[in-house]
Amino acid sequence: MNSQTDAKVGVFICKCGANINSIVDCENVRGYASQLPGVTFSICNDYLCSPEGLSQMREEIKKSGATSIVIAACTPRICEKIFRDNIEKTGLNRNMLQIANIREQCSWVHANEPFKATEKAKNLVKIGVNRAKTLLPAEGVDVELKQEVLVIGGGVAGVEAAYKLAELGFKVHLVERKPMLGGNMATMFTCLLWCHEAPGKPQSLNFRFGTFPACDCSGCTIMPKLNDVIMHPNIDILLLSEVKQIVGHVGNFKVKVLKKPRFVDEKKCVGCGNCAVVCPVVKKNEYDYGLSKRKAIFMPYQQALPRKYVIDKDACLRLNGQECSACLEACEFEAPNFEDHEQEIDLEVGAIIIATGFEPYKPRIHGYLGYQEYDNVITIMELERMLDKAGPTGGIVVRPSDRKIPKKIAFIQCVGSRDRKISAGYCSKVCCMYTMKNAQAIKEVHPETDITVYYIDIRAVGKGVEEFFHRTREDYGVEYTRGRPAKIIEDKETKNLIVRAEETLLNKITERMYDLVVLSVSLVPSEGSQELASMLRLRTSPDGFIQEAHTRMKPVETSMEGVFVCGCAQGPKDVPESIAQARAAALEAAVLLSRKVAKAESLNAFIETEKCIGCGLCIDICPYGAPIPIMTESGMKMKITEALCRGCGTCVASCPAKAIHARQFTDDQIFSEIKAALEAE
Amino acid sequence: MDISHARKEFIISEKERLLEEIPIVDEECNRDFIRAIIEMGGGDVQVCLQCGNCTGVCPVSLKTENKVRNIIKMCQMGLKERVLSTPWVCATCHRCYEHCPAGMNPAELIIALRHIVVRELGPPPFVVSISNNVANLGQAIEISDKILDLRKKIGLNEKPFDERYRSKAIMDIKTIMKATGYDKLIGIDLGD
Amino acid sequence: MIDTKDARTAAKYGLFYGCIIPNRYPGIERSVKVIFEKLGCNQLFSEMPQATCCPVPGIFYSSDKDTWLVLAARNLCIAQDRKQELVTFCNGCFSSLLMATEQLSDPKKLGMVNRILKNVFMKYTGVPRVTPEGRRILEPIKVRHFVDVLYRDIGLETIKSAVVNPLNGLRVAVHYGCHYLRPTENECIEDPVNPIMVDDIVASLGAKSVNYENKLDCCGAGGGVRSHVVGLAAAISRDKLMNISNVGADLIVTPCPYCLLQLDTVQERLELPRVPVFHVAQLIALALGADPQCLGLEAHAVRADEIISKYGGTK
Repeated sequence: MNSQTDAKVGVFICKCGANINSIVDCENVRGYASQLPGVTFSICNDYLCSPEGLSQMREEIKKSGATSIVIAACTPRICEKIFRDNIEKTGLNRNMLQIANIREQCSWVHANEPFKATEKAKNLVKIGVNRAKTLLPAEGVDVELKQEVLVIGGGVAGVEAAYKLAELGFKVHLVERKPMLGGNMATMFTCLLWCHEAPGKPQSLNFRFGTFPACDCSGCTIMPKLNDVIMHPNIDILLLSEVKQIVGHVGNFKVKVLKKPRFVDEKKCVGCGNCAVVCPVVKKNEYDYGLSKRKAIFMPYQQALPRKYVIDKDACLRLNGQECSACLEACEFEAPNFEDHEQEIDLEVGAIIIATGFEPYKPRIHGYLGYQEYDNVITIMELERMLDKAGPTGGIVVRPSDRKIPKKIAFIQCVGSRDRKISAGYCSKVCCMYTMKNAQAIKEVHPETDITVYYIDIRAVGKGVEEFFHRTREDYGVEYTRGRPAKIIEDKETKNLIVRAEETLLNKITERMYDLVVLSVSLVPSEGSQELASMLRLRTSPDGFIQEAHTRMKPVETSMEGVFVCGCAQGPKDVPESIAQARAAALEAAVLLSRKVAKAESLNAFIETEKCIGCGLCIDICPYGAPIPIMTESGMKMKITEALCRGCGTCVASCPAKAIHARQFTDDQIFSEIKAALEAE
Repeated sequence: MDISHARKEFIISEKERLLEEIPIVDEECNRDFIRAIIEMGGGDVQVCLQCGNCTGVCPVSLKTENKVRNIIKMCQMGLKERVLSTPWVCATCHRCYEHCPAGMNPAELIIALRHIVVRELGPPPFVVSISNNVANLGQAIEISDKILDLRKKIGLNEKPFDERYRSKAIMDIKTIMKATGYDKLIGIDLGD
Repeated sequence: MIDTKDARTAAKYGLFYGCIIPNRYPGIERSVKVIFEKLGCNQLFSEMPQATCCPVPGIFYSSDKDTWLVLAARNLCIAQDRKQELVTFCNGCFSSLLMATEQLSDPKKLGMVNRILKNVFMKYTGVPRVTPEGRRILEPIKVRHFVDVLYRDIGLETIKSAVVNPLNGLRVAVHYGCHYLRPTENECIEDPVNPIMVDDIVASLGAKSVNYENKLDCCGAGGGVRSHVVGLAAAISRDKLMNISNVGADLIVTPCPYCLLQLDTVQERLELPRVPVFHVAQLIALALGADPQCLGLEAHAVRADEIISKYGGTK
């Protein structure tokens, strides 16, 4: 790594308005810099990052023929890319830039010692100049960006993202674990429409349910979108599929998908249901949370899309060695296919969108709430299925024990959320809202049923939600009481439930009897999302959801370039937010891939093959999976995939043979800084 | 009809039944109290959400007026005088800790309050008498003649505490109590 | 009856009776000895004659935690010096000593304790062990509850096969007690919401453990409640005893002598059918063929004459 022998260093000093100049005497520093050896010009500017500042920079560089540039300004975290892009426009290689931070590391922290701050700024510029002389031009490699996208998860977010990308012309592979699309939303009762009061009445911002025949069934809201996706020529839908392995980097991810057998030919099945009528095996339907029965060959629920049957291989007699051809005989389209088998599908995509959604929290059995111990304690998901007009109970709410309509229902909030014993104690955001919605829905169908909601706090954020809350209490007469229930006791004969709680606003402990108790459970990350996150080396937040790259400014990007996240996979949220994020993720992916070719940053590491001893320590240590083993004439060596390397330097420090070097951070370059810092004046 | 007479009666008789609520003012709120509780190992009362779950499971709160949650709320506000002058009892059954979503242990809070009471207002009499027993007998309760006879009858050594080790054990206890200052704290005389 | 083995050949377990058992219900102490005789495992257990009050948490832990810890550490040292596991027969002792072992893993507390223990020529270090990898570590003293030792170390099968006087038809209401279910913030010996060990032991003796409402509720005595506000303790016990009499149990069994004391003595003040209260050890001893004399039932306030006449047969 030889330094430039005849470097011509140009120095720019940014006054940054008062931020730097009110403490550091920039003119003084400018004068000092101009007499340093190798410096060909030294200029002050008020705001280097402004269009005028940048244009002045370009002029000066062209005029002077400088070969390296030093910019004394704010932290590189803000302006580095702007400046590098700018000097590239003059024809200089973008790596020939050294930034001296005289704001965050000088003027801001030594604000009460301006003389010393100025001296320090001079020193920082000297260090920068020394370093600038050691910089060498480097080119990043070209990375081809495959114009295909993988969307993991076929719920509302995944489907929306897939659709938008398909419309833009990208080929999308939509991988979904279940046999149908729609995720949780398709099974939940979510239709809320804006309402307008009759003329003459004050207009209020409010939701109202569409009542029959105005489409309030659960699938109706999402069905048009699912149909669009199923019909779209650019979308390749893989149902009953899971992602098993992902290797590679942005622009070129190699994905292995495992597609489980449906045992029904998707191309032939029309969804008529004749097979299910004759199938002899009866099971509890897990898609209805045990509220209904299904056969071994079944449609998950009435409005599942795509409308195809599927065979449960554990339940089917024939697949377990017994004689049975009932469905084969009943089907006139010859759809059942017992030769179906697992398939491994390989995909190569340029970007990945994770939309794996959520699962409802499963309360502890033998816990204090009697879940699965007492018949009439259910979770919100069972209630949602019941309220679905096309669901197992046809839209009425019934007690599981005797199928009677309950007269008194209790909702218990914060089951699984805000509990530091179970998780980080996060708030699941949507439960207050879904309880209000479901309470109103129950009252619409059963106006005589009393509802009481036990809460700790009510979080009614979002457009129209506070009004919705008022309406729930005022117009629908739902009782809200503050207190976290301590215990639920079952009356053995009637199977009614006694809820004991301290009603804190009453300051009394009460024991009240209900026919049905609904647990408002929290949203937890989907099963398998942790494994997926480790596969891609993504960070997860303390609540277990995938962490976005920047909490404020990058809500749909992840720590891995080319991998985006949207919907509940990133954290609990409602449908409109999921859709907004899905569109944002689609846009990000589209913008990324639209360039077709990208240049990887050259500030990365490379391995000197002759020195490499092939120990593989760098592979273990690298957080991005950049080093890979390659076979050479002298045996196994490591090589760094430049597109994956982020230049963190961990391997450089750990290599026992000192075979790895970081571009622009070689030992010589760093020593040049140290020397400048410690030199006597 | 002259109803002014009736109105006067109503107001007069009403007044007798009125309880004057004296509003709590800033001077009563002592922020140091919260820190004192943390120092005594009672935990940080600020984490409490006031959800009321602890009160719902507490066997004592069910039977008395002073609910656990109220005590925690008073501690959160730093109402030291009020807390220390309100009677509170705790069976240390730890149900509150088991159920608390914020991870607090109200039983430990009550233990910390007890420490503060002992130091500022003095120990309750039963604490003194049992401490005396432990210091002088090595055990929390005295043995009656009836039980001494019973022990012999059922084939145990008459004395529950082996005489060969008893005096050393009691001396150990006294030495320990003197070293920690427990004797002075509780006000028991250990001789020398 | 005293069995003080030499420290170098000390038995695996040290018996820590606490205060209530020797001074108030000595029948439990005797029953324990009978159990070990009948199970043939006398050699595993030895007395701890230097042991004192654990110290009682309702008094000491509430007034000065430092004093409590040092007194507890002293008892632990006795087991430590004999390299024994300390076995308790009382939920209060169990909770107190287990909490002490947890807190003594904090170096600051350990330093304070040892500074004071020096005055009595003791030092809490833990038990030296060599790990499978060959590292030398100091493990905290193991504090066990009697029920846990019976269930996990001795085993239900051993107990069952030693039963000569099966308690068939005896309807037992089990009261676990709070400090059995939740001895410390961090540890417990079985699921606190769904405990089974004492119920299983009762079943292995031939008796039937009957379920009753709010079975896991507190007896009301602990934490100084009984000493401070005896009426409140009685009110809490009353609820429990009402639920027990609603199911018509013949006997209450508990692993804690303080719960026993409370539930036994409170019944005089209540107008409910009398139900005798036994410690687990007394019930097991009876089933293993002990002479009913050994149970020391004269110390109990509620007579158990009917039970003894029905089941006290075999000598």
